[in-house]
Amino acid sequence: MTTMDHLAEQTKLERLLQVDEGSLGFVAEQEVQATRAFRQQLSEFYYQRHQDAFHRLAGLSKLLPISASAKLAMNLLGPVLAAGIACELPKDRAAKLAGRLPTDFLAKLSLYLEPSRAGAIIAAVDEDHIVEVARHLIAQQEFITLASFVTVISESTLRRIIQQVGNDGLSLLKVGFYVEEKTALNNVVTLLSEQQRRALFLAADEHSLWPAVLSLLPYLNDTLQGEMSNLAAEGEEQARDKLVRAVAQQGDWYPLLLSWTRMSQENLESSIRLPALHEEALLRECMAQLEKHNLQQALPNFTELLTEEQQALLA
Amino acid sequence: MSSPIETLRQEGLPEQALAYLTALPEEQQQTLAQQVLSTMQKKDERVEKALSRALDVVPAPLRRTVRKMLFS
Repeated sequence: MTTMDHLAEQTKLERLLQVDEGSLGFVAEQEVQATRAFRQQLSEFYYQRHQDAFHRLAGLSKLLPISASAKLAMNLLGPVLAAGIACELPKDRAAKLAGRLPTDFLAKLSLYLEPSRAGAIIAAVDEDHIVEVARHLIAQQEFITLASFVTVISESTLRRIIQQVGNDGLSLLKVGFYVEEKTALNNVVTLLSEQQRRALFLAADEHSLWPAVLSLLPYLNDTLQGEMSNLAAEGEEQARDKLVRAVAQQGDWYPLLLSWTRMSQENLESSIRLPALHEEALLRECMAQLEKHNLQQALPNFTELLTEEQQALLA
Repeated sequence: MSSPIETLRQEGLPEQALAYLTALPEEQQQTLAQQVLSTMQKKDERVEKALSRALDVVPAPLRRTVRKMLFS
C-alpha cells in the first residue's frame, strides 16, 4: 500500500536527482525506510565525490576577505557549489559569509545544503537572516527544503517562521509532510495557533489532502493527537465525510482509527455516524480495519455508538 | 559499454545503494540507475567548471600558487 510517507520519499528522491516531480512513481512502491536510506547514501556519495574540491575551494575562500568570498560565491561559484563549500568552512567563517550574502542567494543555496552537515553553521547564522531566507523559501514553495531545516533551527526561529506562514494551511501541511525527523512534528504542531490548525484542515479538505494530514497524526504525542483529533471532529460534516471516503479510497485506515481513540466521546459519536459509514461496504471495511489494527479495545463501546441503521447493516 | 549500474559500482556507489537498485524490476532499475549516473555526471561537470572559474578572481601574481592549491 502506498502511504503519504512513500510519496514524500519519492518526491525527495526526485528532488535530489533533479528530475520532474512524479517521474519516478515506481519508487513509491518500495519500502519507505529503504528509499530513505538509498536517498541518504546517494546524497553522501555525491557530496564525497567533490568533498576534496569543496575543501580546496574553502581553503581559497579563507585566503580572501569575507566580501571577496561573498562575491566569489555569488558571481562565480553559484548556489550549488557554495553550499558544498560552506560545509567545509569553519562554522564562524561560514556564518559571517552567510551574513554577507543576499537572502535570495542564500535561499537558493539552502536548496542544496545538507542539514545533517550544515546544522552547526545554521545555528551560527543570525536569526533574522534565517527567517528572511525562510520567507523566500515559502514564497517559492520550497517546502522540502523548509522542512529539512525544522530539526536544525532553534525553537524561537521556528516560531517566527511559522508565524510568517500565517494561515496558509496548504504550506503548513506540506512542511509537515516533508519533515525528515517526524518526531519534530511535535514542536511544529505545538507552535501552531488554533487558527493555523483549522487552516490545515481546511486546506486538506479544499485540496483533497486528508490522507496527508492524517498520515502525520501517529507521529504526534498523545496530547497533540487528542487536540488535533477533536479539532478535526468539530469541522463540517461534509468535510469529515469526505475525509472518511478519502481514507477508504487510499486504504490507510490506521491514522483515522487512531484519531477516533483520541477524541472525546461526543466527537467519536458524530465521527462514526457520518453518511459514508452508513454504506455497508465502507462500514464493514472500517470494522475489519479496527480488528486488523487491534483497536477494538481502545474503542470498547464502538458498536453501541453506531446508529440502528448501521447496526442493521452489520447484522 | 558497461551498464549504468556497473559504472556506478566502479565509481564507488555504496553496496547498500547498489542493492536497492538491483532489487528493482529490470526496467525500473535501468531508469533509476541511468538517472543517478546522469545526475552524478552533471554535478561532476559543474564542480570542474567552478574550480577553473575560481582562478579568474585570483590576482594574476597569485594565480600560480592558487592553481597548485586547487588542482594539485
